[in-house]
Amino acid sequence: MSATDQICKPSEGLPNDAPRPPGEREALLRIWAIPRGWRRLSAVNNMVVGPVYLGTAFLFFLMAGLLALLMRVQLAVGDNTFVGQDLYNQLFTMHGTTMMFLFAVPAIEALGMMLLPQMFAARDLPFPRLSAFAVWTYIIGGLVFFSTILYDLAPRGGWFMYPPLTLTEYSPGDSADFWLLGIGFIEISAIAGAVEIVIGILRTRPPGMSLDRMPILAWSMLIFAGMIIFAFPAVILATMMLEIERSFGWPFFSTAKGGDSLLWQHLFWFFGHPEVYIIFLPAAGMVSMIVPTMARTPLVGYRLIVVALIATGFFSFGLWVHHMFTTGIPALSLAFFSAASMAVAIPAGLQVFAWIATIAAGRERFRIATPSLFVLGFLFIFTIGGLTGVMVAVVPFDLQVHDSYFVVAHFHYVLIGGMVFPLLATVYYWAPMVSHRMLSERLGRSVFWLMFAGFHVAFFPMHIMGLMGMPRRVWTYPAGIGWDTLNTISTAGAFVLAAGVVIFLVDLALLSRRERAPANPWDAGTLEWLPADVYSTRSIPHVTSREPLWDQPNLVREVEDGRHYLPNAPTGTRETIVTGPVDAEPEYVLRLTGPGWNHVLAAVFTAACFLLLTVKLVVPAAVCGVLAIVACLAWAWQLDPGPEKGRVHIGAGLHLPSYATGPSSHAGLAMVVLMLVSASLYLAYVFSYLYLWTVSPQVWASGAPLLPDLGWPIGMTALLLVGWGAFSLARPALAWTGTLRHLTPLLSLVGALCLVAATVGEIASHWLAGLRPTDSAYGAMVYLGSVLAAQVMIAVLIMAGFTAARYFAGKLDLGRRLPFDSTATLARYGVGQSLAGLALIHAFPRLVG
Amino acid sequence: MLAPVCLVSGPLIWFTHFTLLYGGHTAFCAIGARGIHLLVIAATIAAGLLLATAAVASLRALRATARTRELSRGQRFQHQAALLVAGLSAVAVAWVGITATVVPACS
Repeated sequence: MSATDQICKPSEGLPNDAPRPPGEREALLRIWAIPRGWRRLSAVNNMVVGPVYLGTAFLFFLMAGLLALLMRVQLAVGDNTFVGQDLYNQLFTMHGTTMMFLFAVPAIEALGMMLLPQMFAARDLPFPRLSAFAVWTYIIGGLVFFSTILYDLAPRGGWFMYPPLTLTEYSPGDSADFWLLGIGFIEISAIAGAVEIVIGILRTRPPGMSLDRMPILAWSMLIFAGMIIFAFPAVILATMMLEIERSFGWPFFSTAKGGDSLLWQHLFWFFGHPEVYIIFLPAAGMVSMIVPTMARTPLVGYRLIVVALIATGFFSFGLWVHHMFTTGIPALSLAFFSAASMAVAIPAGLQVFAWIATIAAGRERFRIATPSLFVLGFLFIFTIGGLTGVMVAVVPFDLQVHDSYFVVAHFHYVLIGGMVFPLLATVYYWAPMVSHRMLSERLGRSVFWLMFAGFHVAFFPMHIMGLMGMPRRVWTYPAGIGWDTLNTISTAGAFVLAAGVVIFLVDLALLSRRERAPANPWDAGTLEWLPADVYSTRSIPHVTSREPLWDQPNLVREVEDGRHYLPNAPTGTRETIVTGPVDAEPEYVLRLTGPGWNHVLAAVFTAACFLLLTVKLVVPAAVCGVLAIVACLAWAWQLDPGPEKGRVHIGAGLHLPSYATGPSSHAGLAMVVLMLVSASLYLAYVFSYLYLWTVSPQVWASGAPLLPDLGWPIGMTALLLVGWGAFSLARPALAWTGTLRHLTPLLSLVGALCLVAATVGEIASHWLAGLRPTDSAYGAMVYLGSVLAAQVMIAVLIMAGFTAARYFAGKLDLGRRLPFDSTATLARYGVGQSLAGLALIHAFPRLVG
Repeated sequence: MLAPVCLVSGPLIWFTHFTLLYGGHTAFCAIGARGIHLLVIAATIAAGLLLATAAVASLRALRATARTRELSRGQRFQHQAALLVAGLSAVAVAWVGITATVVPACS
């Protein structure tokens, strides 16, 4: 029995009595009301934002699919001239980029936003405006980026944008910049979504839902979000470096000055390979939810599946070089990655066997409906893709098929099998939860069979084409060399697959005409099938098993009667229960933000800033950047409600605080996650620095004499430590009386200025020593370190100013200090990163001579 | 050992081992040093020992809680999962480490 079970033993009564006082439900409806008309754009409810997010992702899926059909028409016969070479290059670049960045990851995050609060019976995720911000930046940025294909402005370098092809010499104009800046900032949106998902899973589960009772989808989403946090910063750094090289000539990737284009491949694939699992793991989580329902039995091997998810998440970070087997890396290094690529098959296989075992263990015959058909299709297709994955993990085999259509076939089997089929299973399975209506079983089966057959007809021949030597990314091929028939078959298959998608669209369009479905049409066991309204469930249930709806037969009625936790709105605002991360014991009531415009404006101006930079309109971009920061500050001003509501009763005699700050609060945890993102970015930088040193030590040797005098780093260290000390003193100063209390904002500002001064001093020291970032890869890396430090320090300075403003507005004191805690935490992180940077930049070259 | 740390200790040991092997091999080749195979074997043995230690820590916590029930339900689950994750990590460590016995360095 968990600690929470001991708080409220179901046998001894429920947390709240019934009947509930009149007016509670009406108050919930009023507080959680969704704005109507054009004000709906300001809505933040997860069941409004989530479907918009998913719908946009699906729109990108359709558009990228359309590009694929154009490519297939071009390749249907040899010597075809349907599209030209230049347009074909744009088509495959946009197809891959859109599918990976604008469809797959956003679709998964959208499902997380929609499903997780319902699975936890939480009123919403902990940062609703952050979710909405992520969605709006993605929609604006994504649509502008995709539209470049209409103006002949789309990038042409493939979805992985390898330099030197994408350097200015070989890709002049703005098309590559659209990719670098557009995708770069969409990744920021993905990270914002990941922060929301991590904190949501760890802190908003219902009482009693300890880690071992968490739905597998939540586990997979947790791993997914964690992987985004560690993987995406690498490609963000890479896009920064390539854009800086294109715009300012810092030679990170130019061999003549000590750079190396292979560095891009390392950074890209350090993100790119985990990306495959980032997409696959949540899809596997969805399958792990659908299979037990259809088999009418709990999931076999729950622990093993959790273990497999964790192991896959980690192991996937050791596979990136298996995309680089042909780049001349020493054989022993290749062997490490080859071995890791095979090792990851073990946890992946564990999941497949667990699903098969669950189907076999069912009390009744496995229910065959559209979701189960897509699940079975996924199992079949993904297993084939996994097996060809093991084949390409074998170095000698990969050397033969690298950059051939065999690889195209392999990753479409993995990605369509491992993500699109589970996604469609998800849509058919969870549509009644969102719309209270079921998609058509008849049309659904047609969709499945057309897609399943079309997929194999389209992609299986590509294995053979690849083995016959057909390379990837060719816009045409000579007729009569033996590739025509297979390509024609493949094109026909692609259109059959597309026909399935069209019928799916028809099914979706007819959804609103269908009759209302029962509340739990599949008779599933998890909480998302509880009756819900805009405020989620009437009360937040106490959970005692993994399938509460199967094991607690009266739960639906009890929850609807308001007999579980928080059946009302005791603070009179939007709120949900925050529980412990391990055992989900109630800790405090979190007051949530409601609809607003600041996050929308922040998204619009952020998108505008990046997109204007792309077309080199620097001044308007800077204005938009400033406006985005102002909008963020206005948004943040409303985020610290303070403890004045005191403790509130949620049921079972529990009176919880309605406010929390410090490292264990949801906000503190979010800061930790953000620092992990920053640390990942910085570690990618350290890797890049050391990598370029191993490639071009002669540049470091010539750069070392330009190192500033040792007095500079010692002075910078002193400034950083003074800054640290100022923030450390500022916190106790809040407890002091009289004018001494004013020391808190003063010390915060002084501390932040010290950190900024240390960064400026570091840049000045190298400049005065005669080093320029355009001189060599060494110079570029030195200055890039300062750029990364400056990002953090400027953020600290802005936050310190914000904290001071809160203080003088009477909104910051010892009990209400969320902005101060966040600023101090980031400042300490900044000091740590800068000290590590000083050691790397000033000590390393001296040590290696 | 704290249960959350325990849960990811196996994969973290695997990752450290992997980074050390790849980074070490690259650095050794860059500076023309010899003896990378010894480093690989030593690192693999060390990683194996660390994984065994992590597994034993989880096992002891689980045995202790069987007597005293001092761990919560969620913590027990974390230790059980940690044991299995350490086992999988050991397989991955061994599989990567064994390559040094069959593939030459810096070629």
